[in-house]
Amino acid sequence: MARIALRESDPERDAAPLCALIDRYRATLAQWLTSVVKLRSAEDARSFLQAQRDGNARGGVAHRLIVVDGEMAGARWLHGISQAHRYARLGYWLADPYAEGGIMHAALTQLIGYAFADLRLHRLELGCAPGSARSCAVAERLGFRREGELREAQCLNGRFWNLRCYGQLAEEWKHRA
Amino acid sequence: MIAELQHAVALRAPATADADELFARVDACRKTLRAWLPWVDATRSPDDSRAFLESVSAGKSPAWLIEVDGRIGGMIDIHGICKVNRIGHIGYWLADGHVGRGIMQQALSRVQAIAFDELGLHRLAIIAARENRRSCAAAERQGFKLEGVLREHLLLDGRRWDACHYGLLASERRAG
Repeated sequence: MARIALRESDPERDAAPLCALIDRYRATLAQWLTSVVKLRSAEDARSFLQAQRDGNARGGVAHRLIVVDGEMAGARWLHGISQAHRYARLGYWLADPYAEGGIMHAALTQLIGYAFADLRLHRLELGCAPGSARSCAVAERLGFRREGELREAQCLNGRFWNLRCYGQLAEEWKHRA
Repeated sequence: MIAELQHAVALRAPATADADELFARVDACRKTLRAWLPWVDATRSPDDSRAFLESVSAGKSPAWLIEVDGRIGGMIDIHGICKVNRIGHIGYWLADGHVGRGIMQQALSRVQAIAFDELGLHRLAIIAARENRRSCAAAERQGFKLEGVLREHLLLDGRRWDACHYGLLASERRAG
């Protein structure tokens, strides 16, 4: 059983390993992600991680690195937080070797609990391309319901892709089986 | 049958000098507008409208006054523009006396032209509470497709509302 840890990043220390991890799995990560694959140098990674830390301090975006058996494996966070309507979106990624074994399920379970219980949000959303089977499976296993499909709403690798919308309400999470 | 008068509808970039007229118009329609627009209750004086217009000028989201026969009749904007995905969201409102006269249809056609031709967007979205029938009807009449219903997405006046998410692609734009 893999040992999973979630920790806030240390931009100085984590920039080089993050950059190396993204470089190594860039081809698969770039299929469905835009933000992380833009990082091409340790300097990019350092300022990216610093921005996430600032977001944690300012707005509770809860950006955490996912560390598996001591190795950096990916990250998860909240974005698009609306205080007025009390919702937020989940963002997440894992490098290939860590995609199986319920690692993302565990990392997101913790995040969802935090968002509903501590931030008192009413609703969480996430979006993924229908072709991103892993990401859709993670969402469905966590109890998210499919609420629609936005046509050609994201541009990746020079092509437009549909974006499937998932949502979950605080009540549903509380009463999940 | 009486031919309906054609109203002169124009979109105009707002200036802070419009604050008094804009406030008067919002104030007069407060009851109807506040049902779906959370900023209405926070708009209590012309100074609030002035501050809003200043934020529009300083911001990155283009917004226009909808002028009907030379007077402010509502507003329309494109917000949440994402250059990577080439998408934008349209928001709009119209003062009480102007609804149901095709004015918003004219305004939406103009904004579509700006969004697709000038800004080079690929997709436009409109999000409206399902019970906000007028707003949903305006989107549908423009050819926007209902792509999803986000459950309890909106919190307005202490109540939860499902939100209809509409989308229109540049390729689906109607001629004219």
